[in-house]
Amino acid sequence: MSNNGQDTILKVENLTKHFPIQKGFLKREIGRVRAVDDVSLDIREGETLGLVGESGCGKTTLGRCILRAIEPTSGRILFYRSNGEEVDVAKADKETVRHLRRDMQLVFQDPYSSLNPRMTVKDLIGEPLVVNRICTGREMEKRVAELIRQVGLRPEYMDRYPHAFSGGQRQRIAIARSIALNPRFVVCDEPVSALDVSIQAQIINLLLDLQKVFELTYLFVAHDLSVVRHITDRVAVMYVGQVAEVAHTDDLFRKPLHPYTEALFKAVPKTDPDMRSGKMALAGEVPDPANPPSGCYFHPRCPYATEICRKQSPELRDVGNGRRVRCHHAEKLDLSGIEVTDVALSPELSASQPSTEGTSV
Amino acid sequence: MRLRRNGKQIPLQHAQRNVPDNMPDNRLLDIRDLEVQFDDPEGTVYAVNGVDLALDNRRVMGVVGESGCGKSVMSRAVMNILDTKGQIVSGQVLFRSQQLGWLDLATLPEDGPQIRRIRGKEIAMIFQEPLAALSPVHKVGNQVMEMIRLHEDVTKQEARNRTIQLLGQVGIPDPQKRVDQYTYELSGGMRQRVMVAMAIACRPQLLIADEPTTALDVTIQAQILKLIRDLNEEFGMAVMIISHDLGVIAELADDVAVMYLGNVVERGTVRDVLKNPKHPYTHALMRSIPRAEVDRGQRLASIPGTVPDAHRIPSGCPFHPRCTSFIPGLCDSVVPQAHEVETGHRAACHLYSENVQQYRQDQRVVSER
Repeated sequence: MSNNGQDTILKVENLTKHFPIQKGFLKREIGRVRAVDDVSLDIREGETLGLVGESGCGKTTLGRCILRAIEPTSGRILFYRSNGEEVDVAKADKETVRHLRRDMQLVFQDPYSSLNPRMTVKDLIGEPLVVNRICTGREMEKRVAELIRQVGLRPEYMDRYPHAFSGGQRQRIAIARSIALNPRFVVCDEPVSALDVSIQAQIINLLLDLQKVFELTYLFVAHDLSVVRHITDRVAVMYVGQVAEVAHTDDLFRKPLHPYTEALFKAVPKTDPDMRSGKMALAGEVPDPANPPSGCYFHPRCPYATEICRKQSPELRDVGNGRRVRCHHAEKLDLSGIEVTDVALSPELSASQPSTEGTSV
Repeated sequence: MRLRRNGKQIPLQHAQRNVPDNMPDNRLLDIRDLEVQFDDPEGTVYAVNGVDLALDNRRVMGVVGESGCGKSVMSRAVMNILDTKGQIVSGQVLFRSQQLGWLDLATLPEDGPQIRRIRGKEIAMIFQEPLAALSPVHKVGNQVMEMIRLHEDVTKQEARNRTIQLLGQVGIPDPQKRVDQYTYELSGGMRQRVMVAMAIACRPQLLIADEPTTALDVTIQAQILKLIRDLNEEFGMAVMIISHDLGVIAELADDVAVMYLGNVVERGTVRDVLKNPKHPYTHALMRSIPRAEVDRGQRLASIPGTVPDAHRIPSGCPFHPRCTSFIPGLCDSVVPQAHEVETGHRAACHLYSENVQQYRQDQRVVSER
């Protein structure tokens, strides 16, 4: 991007999404769930921004608002087209949104429910091409075959239905469908959470390969921190609809600045049995986003909370080095990240295993 | 091969007869050569194919594997709560009951009086989805009380007091109030705590936890894992935890069994198996997890292909079509035995058999000719 001085592809400003809670025959509004609460983020061209948090923190809603799959309540979503034009996705009309969808795509979590079981693979992957009047017939078939090859499947399978494929293969089909229109920006909503460990690695490799080939920008929504650490350049941690912390991935994992990030890291089970500790798990549960606590939303569970945390809601402030954090005490706290400990795997087996593997199935 | 109990009542003596005399003193559960099969429209599903596993008192055994490896079916066979279609085709599930002594649970009729005295009382189970396992139309307290009153001769009031005490013990705040609530009023973590309270109500000797934290968030998962570990340490309750997550297993287990396509491919202490995996499958599984030593954005080592269909188990070693140490002519024809690679650490792989070197040499001679 040259127009705005940086290479920002997407800028989210003060985005808010409230779901009304209705009651009774007249659907009287008795409250609001603040699913996304004043979120500002920017995503740079070619990077992978991770979005992590526990269920109900608003990460999926945020991803869908950005694509206008859900109407945001307020705020701006500025998308920069390849010709430099700035479009506010939040306010764009239907026609503009339809055009924007070529540039912005979504990969869902569950490949069992995201693919129509009555459509063949050819129709599934070709549908976006036909709908957007890019190509039909033989030409479409040729393009679909190419896409199928790009995601590591065999074009011969084109006429089969999704039920003939395993979970990992289905996710490949879903990915082929979302890259069919050559998008620049893809929201991946928990793309590997429903898959087995050995298949997860295949899909992560595929996403990394496609990013290189097509120069994609990813918003990677996930709760698995080891996957996020591996695939993302920067990470935004969300808690009860708000961004708690944004930082470069390495910085964040080495030294988090928000107590919630530290608590998340502590809670992740380590695969090294020697890392097991009698540590105290974070007490309590995520508050109800319809009725969040006063002050800092995290204060009832935070071991470092003081008087000010109970009274005053902290701002998401810049603390230098490209990091932003929503905590009153960020500078004073010395929080611990995830230590680098790795299992040294036996050399004789490692030697017999190639370090990487093709995307073929 | 057919089911050996077609609804007929088999006398208890039968279940007690086949127990070997030389059982170690602290052994609680001994699964021997267990085979479980299902029939579905496409044919027979070979879910568990000759599993040998032993669990001692006070130990935590982790069973890890990908979906479809038979880990859940195996645990259900122990409780004798297989689906009507599932059948224990052969093998033994030997359990040391406090009331009845050594028993082969696999031979007991699944709705008979003996197994019902053991289920819930001596072996309890918690499931992945507490919302599906708990009744939505009964108060949670009543569901826990039912368990207590089924197995013990206590008054309603005593059972209720015990329930409140149990709910407090598993970390449910304000148990006097929660005891009269329904499942929809509780969060996912709280529901799983109710499941745990129900499971430990009769102080079982063995708790089977089938993916107990898979539906929960990490911070809540950490709380539940800590709860299970505390129960193991405080009451000496043995635990069999089933999970696909190597992290969960590493956090909780003393011993680990790795399953693939209905077989235990590797077992040993948690440290031996996870820090020094010997079976190529375990090794590949550990390598496919993103780790700090693999640079960010680099390709991960992954296991090629997918888990084969359990209708058609590959010949020889079930892992051979995906294995990078595959030896043609051996791995695809001979089922590997479990070899003891170090004390108490076994791997079912031809790489550790004595004649593999000899075999390779023979192959070389053949190919040179």
